[in-house]
Amino acid sequence: MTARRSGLRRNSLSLFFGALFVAALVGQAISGVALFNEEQRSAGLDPIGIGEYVTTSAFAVDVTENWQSEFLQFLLFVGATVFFLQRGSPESKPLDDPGRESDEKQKVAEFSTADSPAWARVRGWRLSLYSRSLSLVMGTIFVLSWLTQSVTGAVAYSEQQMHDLQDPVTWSQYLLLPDFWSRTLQNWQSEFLAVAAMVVLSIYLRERGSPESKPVGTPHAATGVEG
Amino acid sequence: MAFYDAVDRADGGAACDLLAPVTVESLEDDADESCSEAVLDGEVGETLTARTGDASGSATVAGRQAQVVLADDVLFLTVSGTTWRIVAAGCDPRPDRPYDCVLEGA
Repeated sequence: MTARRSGLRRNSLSLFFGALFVAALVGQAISGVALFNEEQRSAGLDPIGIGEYVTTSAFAVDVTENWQSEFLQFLLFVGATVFFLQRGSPESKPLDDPGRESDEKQKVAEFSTADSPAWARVRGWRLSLYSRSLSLVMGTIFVLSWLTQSVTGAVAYSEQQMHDLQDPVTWSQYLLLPDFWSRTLQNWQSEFLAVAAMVVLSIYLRERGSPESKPVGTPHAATGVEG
Repeated sequence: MAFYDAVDRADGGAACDLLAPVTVESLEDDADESCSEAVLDGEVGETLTARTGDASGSATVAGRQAQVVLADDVLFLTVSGTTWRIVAAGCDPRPDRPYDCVLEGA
């Protein structure tokens, strides 16, 4: 196997999901502009191109309302699994060690190894920051996506309001409107359901070869075991 | 505002050039005459002519829709191509309902 093919294989999981993301986003833009232009034509107005459509608030709010909920889902998943446990689930750590765990187990400071990340080796603010860097970055993306959803949602809502011969709204007014919370909560509920289903179903069901599952022959009660 | 300038001059053709296609169509269907005549005749013409006074006001734009609030009127516009077109004019507010407009696209 050449070095290039080997590199592709070693990174195939991120490449696979990256490609799926791009394909789905392009598909969303293509179907979205087709729907938008149906409405334009029915009103006797000129259709727009896909380049113009992807800069509209209507497209942006549809994209970001899903992004924020996905990043919230993983933020909560990363954070909640530090403290909460689930007997029998491979998504939970072993039942005897809830919380941030010992420095020895986390291999930080004096327990670090030669190949530990630099910020994990010395006590101080860098270690504190790096110890929470995953949730901090996921949380930042969640907040920025939700903020963008609120801004673009206010514009899209006002656009629809004026299309229907009603007054536009300001951003602060929009934050209190059902449209904002309906868009937000309809995404949150599906993400929370998916996580809860994964935590519980993986107690009893198996997917041979997947690290998200316990090995097929592992007992249902085994916790914190990944395949 | 160009639309009300045209109405004030009784230039129906110029006024209709500023309307969205759906508004022209709706006006012609309702009045059973050409847009340039219908925009100056009957209730539509009376209402619009009565609102040609103060043309100063403010506009709110959101994406491809806009609302222009004048001293005596409220108008709604949309973009077609690169041109803003009037969808509705001669509009009066109604609580919790869309504006009641004497001229509007169906």
